[in-house]
Amino acid sequence: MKGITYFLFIHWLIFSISTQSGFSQSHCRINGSLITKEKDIPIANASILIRKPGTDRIISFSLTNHKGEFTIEILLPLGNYSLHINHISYATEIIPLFIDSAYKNYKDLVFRLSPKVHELKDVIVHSTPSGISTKGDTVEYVAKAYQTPEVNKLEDLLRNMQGFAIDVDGNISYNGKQVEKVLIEGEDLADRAYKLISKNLNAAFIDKVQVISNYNDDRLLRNIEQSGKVGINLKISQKWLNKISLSGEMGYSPNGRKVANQNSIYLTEKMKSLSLINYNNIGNSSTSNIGYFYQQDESNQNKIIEEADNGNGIIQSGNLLLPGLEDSYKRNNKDFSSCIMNSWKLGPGIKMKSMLGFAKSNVINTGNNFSETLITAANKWTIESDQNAEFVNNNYFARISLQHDNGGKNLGTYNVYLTQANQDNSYSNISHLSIVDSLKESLQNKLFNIKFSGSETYQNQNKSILKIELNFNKERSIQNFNNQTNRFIKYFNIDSTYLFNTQNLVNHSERVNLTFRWLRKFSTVSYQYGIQFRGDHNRYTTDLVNTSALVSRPAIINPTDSAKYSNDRIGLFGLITKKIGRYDIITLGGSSGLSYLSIKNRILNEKRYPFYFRYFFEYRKNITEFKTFQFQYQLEKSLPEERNFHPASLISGNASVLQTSTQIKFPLSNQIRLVYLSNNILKGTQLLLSISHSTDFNSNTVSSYFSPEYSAYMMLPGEKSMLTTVNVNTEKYIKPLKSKVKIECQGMLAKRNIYINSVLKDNIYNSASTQIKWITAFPLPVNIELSARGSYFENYTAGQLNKKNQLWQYQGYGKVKINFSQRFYSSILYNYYLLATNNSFKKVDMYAVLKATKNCSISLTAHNLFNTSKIEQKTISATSIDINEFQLIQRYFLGKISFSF
Amino acid sequence: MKKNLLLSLLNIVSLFGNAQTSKTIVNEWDCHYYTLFNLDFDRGKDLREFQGRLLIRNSKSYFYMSATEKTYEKEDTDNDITVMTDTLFKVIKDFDNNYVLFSDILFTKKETFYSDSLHQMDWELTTDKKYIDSLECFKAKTYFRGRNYIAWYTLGLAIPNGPWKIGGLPGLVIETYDENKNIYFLLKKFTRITNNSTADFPNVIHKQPYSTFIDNRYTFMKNVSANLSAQESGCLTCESKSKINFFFWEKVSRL
Repeated sequence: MKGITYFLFIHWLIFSISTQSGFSQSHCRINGSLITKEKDIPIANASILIRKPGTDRIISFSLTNHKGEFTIEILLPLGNYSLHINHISYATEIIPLFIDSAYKNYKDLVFRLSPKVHELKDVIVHSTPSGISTKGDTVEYVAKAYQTPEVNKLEDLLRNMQGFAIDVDGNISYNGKQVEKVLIEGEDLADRAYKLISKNLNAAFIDKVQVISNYNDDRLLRNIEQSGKVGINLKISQKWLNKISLSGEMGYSPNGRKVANQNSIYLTEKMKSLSLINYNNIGNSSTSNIGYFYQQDESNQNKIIEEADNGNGIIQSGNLLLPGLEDSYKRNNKDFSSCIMNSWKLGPGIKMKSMLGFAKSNVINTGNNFSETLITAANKWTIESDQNAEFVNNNYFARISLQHDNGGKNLGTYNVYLTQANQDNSYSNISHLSIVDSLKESLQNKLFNIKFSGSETYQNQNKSILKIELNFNKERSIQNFNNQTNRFIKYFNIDSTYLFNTQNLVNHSERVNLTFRWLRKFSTVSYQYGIQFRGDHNRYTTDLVNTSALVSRPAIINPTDSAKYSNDRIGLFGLITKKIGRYDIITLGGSSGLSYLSIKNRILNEKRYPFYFRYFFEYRKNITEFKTFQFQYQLEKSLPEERNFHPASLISGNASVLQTSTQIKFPLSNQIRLVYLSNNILKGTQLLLSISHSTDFNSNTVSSYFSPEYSAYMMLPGEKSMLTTVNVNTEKYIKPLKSKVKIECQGMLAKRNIYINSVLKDNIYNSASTQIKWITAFPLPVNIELSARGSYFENYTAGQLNKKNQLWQYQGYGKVKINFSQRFYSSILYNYYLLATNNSFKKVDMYAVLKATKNCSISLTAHNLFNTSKIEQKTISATSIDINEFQLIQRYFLGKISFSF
Repeated sequence: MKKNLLLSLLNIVSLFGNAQTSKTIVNEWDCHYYTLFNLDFDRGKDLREFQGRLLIRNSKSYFYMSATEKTYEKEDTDNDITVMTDTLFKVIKDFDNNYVLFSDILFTKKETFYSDSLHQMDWELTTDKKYIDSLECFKAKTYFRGRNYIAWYTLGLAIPNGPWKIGGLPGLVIETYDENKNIYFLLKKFTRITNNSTADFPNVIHKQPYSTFIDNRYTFMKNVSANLSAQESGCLTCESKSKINFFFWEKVSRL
């Protein structure tokens, strides 16, 4: 083993040691090479270590190159060392090394190594990694990076963050998925009414925005149930914590338009509080309106079972609908609202939350309407009317919640909600042409709702979960409707001499829902199943008083009419989701059950035991990281909607009669949906193709029923209806133009087979629209957005193509964005609408904002600069054309200051 | 040490005398690493399990991370675009010519190999010692391309190699991770390459210099940023100005 080279080396070392002394450190350089003992083949990738004998310390090391050569150069304290030569396939050599002089240079050493006598074989290491957490599905945005001058509220901040989209109603989505909750420092203060926060909370408070995918309120379900929901958690900047922090804005216009809002937060470990106050008369929504809370859409929260939702009164006074032109136009408004949300930690794992709110809204709208209704070839019904409407709403809301969750295997939540809504609406309408009519209506609505919801979740030792949920909802509404008209004179079964009609409607409804749900996950399969008990009970009583204008005639009090709807059911449900490999997810589920149905009113008196079901299938394939294909199919046989069964011949708004359903129908519907999405945000390309087709049988359809004599809104029995929608959206970033081009196409084909005037007819409604957008991203302070859209609508009754209603509409806007610095932003928005032939309008708005200090900004808005006084909107419905002329809010210049401290 | 090695480190084989010396030493090893990689590194936590594999054939080695069933057990978050091919972090080391080749996809779906210097890490060897199973391991630290790495190597397996670009230590890297544990490798199995375990080393015909890699990254970032700036906002008071932050594992900049 010890070759001649090694022998010489030792001697040389001893010689060196004997001749050098008297230095504390040595500059040591060793170079040499390794070769195999037998064939002088260089040995690469061996390690040469200098170690201190008796310790684990490795002082220096080197590796041999492909020629087997190595060099070590190091400053070493004088003393004894050892040179270790290691290679996986050769026996280790250890050579003593004594350093005793200031400079040591071992040159051209040659080591001959022998193969290992023990061949190294397999090594299997049994050791577990530590300190690694596989939890966490949160994406975080640092708010500061998105704080541009125009950012005022949370909504503005999110709009700047990639992945977020906010629609005109303030609904937030993230990568196409609807946001479920907005939390503040992990606290869910507003429940699903997150718009209260997103539209009000000052962005200056926010430090980070965290996106939580697969959000679930229930901690124990997070790893089992693929909720598909997204939550947002707001991290508040440290400087705003543990004290009362305020922010707000005040704006004033010389012509009396005003806006003011304030929000304050108080966030500590034990208590979190947010309060909001808003006022405006500039046509904006009252953004802290607690109405967001009970207007929230609770439908379709679960693929297979229904959840209880809130009811509402069914009578309305005349209504002047605002144009659907992607903006709200109000002539005059006064909106005030206030809300406070709190949460307290009462003890370990116990939390209490509360929410109190009040909103008052006053809106006055005026407009003119021209309506032409085609009944038959011989009958055309035309009306012109001048309309005035005033809506006054007072809403009160309170919620209290208790939660217990000590991080163990059980948690629960209990909520009580109280809502009261008072409406006082008035409406006047003077009509002429086919019907000469003066109509005045007023409606007082009082709705009171109490709701309780509670849930308990248990996890057992094998990690399966049981969730029990109980919901109870009791609602009472009292509606008092006054109507003064001459429309009824000839056409209804009402004494034509009675011109004043007073109607009182009282509605009581109770809903109870008890669900037991078991959930479990095995590897790539998760499933749930359960049983649901539900009871829906609804009662109406009404009386109608017709009073003549002639004092000599007595009033007629119609006998009290009533209606009752009862539905109790028991159903089973199940859902299974299987992930196949990386790319495919299959979901299959269904629910079915038996119910007891009892409907009683003046027309119907029936008791039945109908069977209902809903089946759901979804296949989702992630073709690549950026391409997804989705197929959904749903088949449902549902029960009749309780709202369709009320006292017969209710008088409702716009001098129409609200007819009850005359038949009990069990709708059967199926829907197929195909979606292909290719979205590469990084390459700037997107293609969305969505096709959906649904067929409904036996459904009642809310429809306007027209005759030359009168109008009525009623549930028309239908045999079959079909709806097909197609959406194609594509966008591409064009690098040479530094611009993005977007094209969006929508098409809809609808065919409804319904009874009109007791004759079964096919009503066909088709529409198509295309929008092209061009958005620049020049590296300049000025950029533009241009958009143009063309839409086509047609409507006709089968066999009456000559009576086809057709409408072309065009819309375009141009926006110039000026951004010279991080502190200043300005924009000019030009809108052009061609709503129908010879009917167009233009509108220009301007906006400029200067961020004066870190916590203060000043803005100026010029609204409706050209002072367009009115717009006309032409719409077509199943059998009519309507042209509405709206008075717009007048031009104003509003100066506004925003602050926070 | 709680558990013993299932298979002994050394298997005594009688290979004395001429019978041994007449054989050519074949230095071919197959190292399996338990691997965790945080797909949300520098942003959050989305640790996924991979199988890391280091194949050593004399003066060349090939490392790659492949996805397993477990990698996708956890749902992709819908908030992220997870760009993942079947293999990640492909690294070919050539000890003879002192370079590494690594692959990059960069959203083009076209794999490109770039060359880099072999084992650029400047390791600080410490006296910290621990046993991973029965292997005596020493701790070494280094800062490499924006991250602090810790490696535990063993002199018992004197191979200066390790997973990914990690290596250049006196022994095989048994466990290594960055200080935030965004990436984590732990040797689970070390065997000789057999016919069953051999995997073809990629045949890299075209390779580009590291400077080109950096240039391509910058060009890419510039294009994507411009694209995201072109967002429409529609409303008067909102200026949609999307920004994007890029997260690359190796933090490099132009010289």
